Amino acid sequence: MKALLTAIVAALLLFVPAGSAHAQFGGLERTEVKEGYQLKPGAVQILVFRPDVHVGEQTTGGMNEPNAEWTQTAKAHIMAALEQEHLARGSQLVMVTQEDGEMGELVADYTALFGTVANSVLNHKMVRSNRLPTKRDAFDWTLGEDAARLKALGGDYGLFFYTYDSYGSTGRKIIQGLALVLGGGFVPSGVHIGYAGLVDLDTGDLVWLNVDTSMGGDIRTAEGAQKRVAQLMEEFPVRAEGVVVPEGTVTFDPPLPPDGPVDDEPVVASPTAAGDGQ
Amino acid sequence: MKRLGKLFIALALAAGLTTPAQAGWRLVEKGEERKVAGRMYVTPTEDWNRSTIRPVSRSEVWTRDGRELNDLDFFMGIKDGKPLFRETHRKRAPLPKFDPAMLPTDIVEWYQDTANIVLGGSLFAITEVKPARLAGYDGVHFAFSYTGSDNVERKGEVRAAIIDSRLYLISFDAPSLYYFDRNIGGVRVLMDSARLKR
Repeated sequence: MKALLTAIVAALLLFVPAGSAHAQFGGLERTEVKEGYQLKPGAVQILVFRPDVHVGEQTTGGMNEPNAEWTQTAKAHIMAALEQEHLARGSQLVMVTQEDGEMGELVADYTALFGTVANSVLNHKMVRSNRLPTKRDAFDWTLGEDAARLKALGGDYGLFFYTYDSYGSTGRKIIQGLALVLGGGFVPSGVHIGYAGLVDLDTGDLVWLNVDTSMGGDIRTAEGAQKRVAQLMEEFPVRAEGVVVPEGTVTFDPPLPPDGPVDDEPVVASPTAAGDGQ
Repeated sequence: MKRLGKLFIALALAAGLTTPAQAGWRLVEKGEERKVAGRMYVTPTEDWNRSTIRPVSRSEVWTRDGRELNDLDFFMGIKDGKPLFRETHRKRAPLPKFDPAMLPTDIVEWYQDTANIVLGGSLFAITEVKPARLAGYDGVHFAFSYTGSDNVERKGEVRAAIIDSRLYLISFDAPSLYYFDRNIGGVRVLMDSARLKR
């Protein structure tokens, strides 16, 4: 099965008409965001589900040879870059570790379902010629409201991401150069694809999905991984503005001074604090 | 790796790396009685999308969110000696053939044998079998479960009957998480609504 799939992909990449190289390999870069969606205000904790990172080398014939060392290095760089990116955005990442028992099964089941849902979005929303009429004006895929059970892991959102890199070997690059010089058409060297998606765990709704089939950044280096993560996080939902009101607190609008409002922010006070002030 | 392969193909499609015979999709509106792949009529209770590509003759594929998430298939009038699906490996993996002399329980076994070959090693299990009627004819209703190559556990139900020596079969399957429960009520109503016009 593995060999068959690899062969299919290799064939797809190899037998593309030379004349349409730009159109064929310009790559898809598309983002879907649930209309008007914003992260809730205040501290945001995002669960990161086992990131799928695969790095290998594309042989002269176009096949991929996985490279465990590159994969491990890339994974570490990507995680560091991801953490940095989200800290800058004011959100905190919570890495979902290998869980045992019922929670472990739940994580595995929802990770698998996310992959399937993302594939459906790719097939039926991002590929325009294959769009479903019921989805034409909607981005309403979901993992279901029971995904809220994952909140027990300590986050309000679930972030899933996947990257696949197959770097062109020297032989592959030579073939590419020769094909261009000799008029043999465009032979692609290297494959760099990835996607990332965010699920609101209150509703289970997929609220953001970003797909890029020609990603930049050599993720085997820290700088490259930062570039990659920045690309993966493009159009990530922003946080809603507003004041977070902790439970057990009371808000009130102070009476306006004769000259009008002096501050747009409502005053927030806990019952105790209010009592102390009187 | 299977998941990776599927994703790869989806991404290749998304990138326009290939132009396979892609399905077009047409809206099937709820509440309207609709002729399905021949002479059976059903009335859906929700909007569906119908593929313009038929897996075999006298068949139709409907989905709401994508076939991996809710797959409603109609096989209308399978003839004596024909398999449920088109045989892609006739010699290496032949599919069992329909026989009009089958009893309802034989249909269940035939479907299971077909699924085991098509799914290639996935654990496919029949979970319930009961007598039922399809379009006014005696038949069978059965439920099943399996885990696909994407590691998603799915549940499904089938309503089938042999009418005039041909097999009429409606099958539905969806991920156990959320999608099956969300859709199965409407699918059962649709199965109940089936009728033949002569």
